[in-house]
Amino acid sequence: MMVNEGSEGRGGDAEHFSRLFEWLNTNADRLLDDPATNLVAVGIGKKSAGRIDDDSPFCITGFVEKKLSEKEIASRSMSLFADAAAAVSNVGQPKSLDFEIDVIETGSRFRARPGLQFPAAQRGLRGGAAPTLDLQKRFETIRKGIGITNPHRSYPASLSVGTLGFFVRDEGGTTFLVSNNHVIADENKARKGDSIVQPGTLDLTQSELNLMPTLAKLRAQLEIAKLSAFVDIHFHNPQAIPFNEVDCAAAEILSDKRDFSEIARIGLGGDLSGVATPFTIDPVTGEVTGLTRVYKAGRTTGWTEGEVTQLAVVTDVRYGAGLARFRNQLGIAASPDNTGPFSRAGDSGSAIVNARQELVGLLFAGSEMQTLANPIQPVLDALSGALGAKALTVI
Amino acid sequence: MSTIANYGEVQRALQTDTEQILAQIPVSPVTLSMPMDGAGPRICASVKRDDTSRVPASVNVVLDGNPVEIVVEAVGDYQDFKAL
Repeated sequence: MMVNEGSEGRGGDAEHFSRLFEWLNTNADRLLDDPATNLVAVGIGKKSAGRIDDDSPFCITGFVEKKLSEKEIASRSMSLFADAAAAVSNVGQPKSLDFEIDVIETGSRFRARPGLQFPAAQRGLRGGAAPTLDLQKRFETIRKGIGITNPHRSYPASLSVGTLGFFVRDEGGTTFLVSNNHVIADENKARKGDSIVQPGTLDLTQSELNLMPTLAKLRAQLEIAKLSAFVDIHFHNPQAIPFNEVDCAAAEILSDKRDFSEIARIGLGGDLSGVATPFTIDPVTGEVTGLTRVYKAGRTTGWTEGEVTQLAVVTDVRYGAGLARFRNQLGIAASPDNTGPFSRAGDSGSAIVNARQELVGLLFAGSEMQTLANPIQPVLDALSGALGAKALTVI
Repeated sequence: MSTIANYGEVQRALQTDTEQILAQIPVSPVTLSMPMDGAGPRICASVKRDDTSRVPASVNVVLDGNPVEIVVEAVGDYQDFKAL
């Protein structure tokens, strides 16, 4: 319901908001106390009824359980919100108000969410599943921690999924998502330009698979990035057992496919705040400098908490293509407060962060009890080289 | 005469002298690491339970031209690591 269109431009938003806030403080009680208004609540919103930071003007919003026609309102001897707002403002007619108003339907009155309380014997029956965030679905706004894969060379015969780790930007402003080689570069078999899709193909329903029976159709619907570069994994071979330090790859995001505008500020568990200083250890006392409590958001186990328990790990890791030997890795165990393991299959590619939301490592492998991660600086150095970038900034 | 490695030397040796260390621990599969449990500077060698007796008590490397002895702790808890 528009009363006075275009009374304020974007430039006067702050002043306009202040005036609305003052108006609300003065008049909200009177509006809510008047049973004829049938208001549930009143507040300040956007005329679009959308996000508070969109381009439409601020307005006074009245909340009602159900919107009624003017005829119904008249028949019940109720007041239009516009008329009531004008009346408390002492301006006579709604058109004389110097702000816009809107009415939003709530469906019911607001109620406090009741705490769950049941007899002890019914414990476990009523609480529902543990709270969780589904990281396996299709996301309209792309963020770290969600399922992705490279479907080339396998789809539709086999399905796969790993995790989108984090985002970096090069000096030219190009933005890349980062994950493992074995998630988005198919253990060295991928080609530059391969499509990266979200969600991973393993997370598609049968109906979705039926709608996208070919790679071309899958790419058309779910592509979010194109593979730009990866660091080769060197496998055991008859001549030698080469050492690896990283399992990583980068793909340039396709900003016209999904919403990438939020990637720097909607991190799961918190927004990234840069790169952690590498762990240092006092040579004599063994005291470690750096936060060893770490966290990750991954496609399979979601948000988990762990502890870096080992440095400089040397071990063989089993891939589909064979064994690969790694050194200088971080060993991570689930913290005592974490339910279950720190990671499972499908979590590869997850960014590992500390309590300051600084990037610590890139998750890539695990055993029953332990998780392995590449320390983050070698990952960034290797990807800079592979991408031909002077430097990469974590965003 | 070699000196016993401190934490810094254990970490450095695992990063740079990995092949020499592995050559002195004739057990496969094995995972080597430096535990951060404060129980002393050492290499933890995770091997299969039956292989613990084959792990030497220490290994020797040369760091900056100086021989260094690193204590090795054998633990029979080896588990395969798989790419996730």
